[in-house]
Amino acid sequence: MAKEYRILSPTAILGYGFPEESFMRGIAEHPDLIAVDAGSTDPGPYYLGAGKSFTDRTGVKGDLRFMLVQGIKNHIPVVIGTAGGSGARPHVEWCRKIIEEIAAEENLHFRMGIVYADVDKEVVVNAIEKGELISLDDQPIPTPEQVRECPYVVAQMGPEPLNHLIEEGCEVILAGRCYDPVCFAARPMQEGYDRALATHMGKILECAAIAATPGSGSDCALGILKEDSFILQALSPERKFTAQSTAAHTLYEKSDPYHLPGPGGSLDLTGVSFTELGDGRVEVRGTKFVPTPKYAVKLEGSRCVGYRTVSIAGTHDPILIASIEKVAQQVKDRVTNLLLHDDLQGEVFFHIYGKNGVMGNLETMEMGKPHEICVVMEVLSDTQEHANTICSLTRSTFLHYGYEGRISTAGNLAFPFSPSDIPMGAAYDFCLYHLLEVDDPSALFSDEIVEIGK
Amino acid sequence: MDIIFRDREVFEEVQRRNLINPEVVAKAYHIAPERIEKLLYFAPAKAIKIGMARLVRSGAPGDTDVYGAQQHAPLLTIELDL
Repeated sequence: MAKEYRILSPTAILGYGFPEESFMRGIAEHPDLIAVDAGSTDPGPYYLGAGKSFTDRTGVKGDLRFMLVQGIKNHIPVVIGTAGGSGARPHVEWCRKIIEEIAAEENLHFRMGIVYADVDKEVVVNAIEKGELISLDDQPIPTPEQVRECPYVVAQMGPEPLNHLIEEGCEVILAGRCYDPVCFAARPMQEGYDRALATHMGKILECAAIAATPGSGSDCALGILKEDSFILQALSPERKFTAQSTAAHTLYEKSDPYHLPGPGGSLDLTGVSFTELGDGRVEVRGTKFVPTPKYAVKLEGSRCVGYRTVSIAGTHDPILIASIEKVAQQVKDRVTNLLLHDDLQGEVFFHIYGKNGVMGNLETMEMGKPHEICVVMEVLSDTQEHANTICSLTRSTFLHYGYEGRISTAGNLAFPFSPSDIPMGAAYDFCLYHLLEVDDPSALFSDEIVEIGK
Repeated sequence: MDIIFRDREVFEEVQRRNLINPEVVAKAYHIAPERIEKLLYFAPAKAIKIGMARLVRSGAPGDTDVYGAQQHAPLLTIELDL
């Protein structure tokens, strides 16, 4: 293995963009790999369930164009992890199409390996029936029916499924759902670099310049992996990595900064040191990898729980504002009654901004006397038509409701839009966020190799 | 949620005297201390990590904050006697 392995991370999520100058500074450092994390579950269950990307196509294509043109021209491999935002088959296909377009437009020719993260639902059902699905954070085990209701189920792959594609000379690897560091760590691990260091470096690089100061998710970072340490370097003159900014990043999206679990084992950070090298770079050493007795992958799946329609309105009437909670409940009760007559089923949620819209039942502050509040009416029902009907009913009831003490009778709500009701399509709920133990880290993940532009 | 201190001495005093603990955080949120599932001090970043279960799963119908990005304000009410 060579003394150093250099990885250019252009941006925190493929599609977020980055300054061209930073990227080209990165290319001038002669990286051995350009890699990017293309997805996340942060935006909620919709995107996985609906098979859609939460990142914009124009942004993704713009970022990929840079990566592929410079990568292929300079013979630097490219790896994309959790393609299309959620990493299930439709998301991977969506990203593949963008790559093929770029290759045609830029006259690029390369071998691309694609690895899919989709898991057969019956495998999951089988594990549930045998009591083998492992819960995380006390999440309930889904029923077989609920699993089968998920349009897509994925497993976060470790680095192992990429090895075959690396061995077969794939210059670009397009991966479905991955454990975040994998798109950075898989290639150097194949060359003999330490798993703990490669994975830890990947954990930080997946966020690009977020761990630098001032941090940014749309600016590039360079990682230099060595035999027993790694170095992080910003690629913009106004940013630098400090011991504090790098260490603080370990807290990001993790419940325990000392033990970071992943497929195959955990990273142990109890002995890690962060040392400033004095030139805006930080050196990290001391990470250990602790394998689990059995290799486990984390499953993700979300199921459709109905259809949603929302209506957004404000009110500026002090009498209504003072009794908003009571009035909202009365409106809800009136709607529930009317629905019973029509044999319609649905749930109505009110998000009252100015009172407790952001924190809901966790809000500790009293409302006080805001001069205006916003009421977002959210309706969930079994079909879009039913959600529309119930929202219409809720909205008109609220608009005309004769609450106690009312003086102004022209209309209780100020709507910014016509139409006032917005059908939102299918609503999803995560039901799989569990571990599945496997004998072979790669068995769940199928792959294919294609020659692009040839 | 994370609380990151500017001063190492202040962080160390808070840690030594356990001034930020599940009871203090629970009081700020008007909830029972058992709901604070995790609270640990992370010295390399002069930080405290706090873990609290969501009331509603992220993005499930009725959720108020998909990213869980805006639930920290009650922490700002915590006062420390140093």
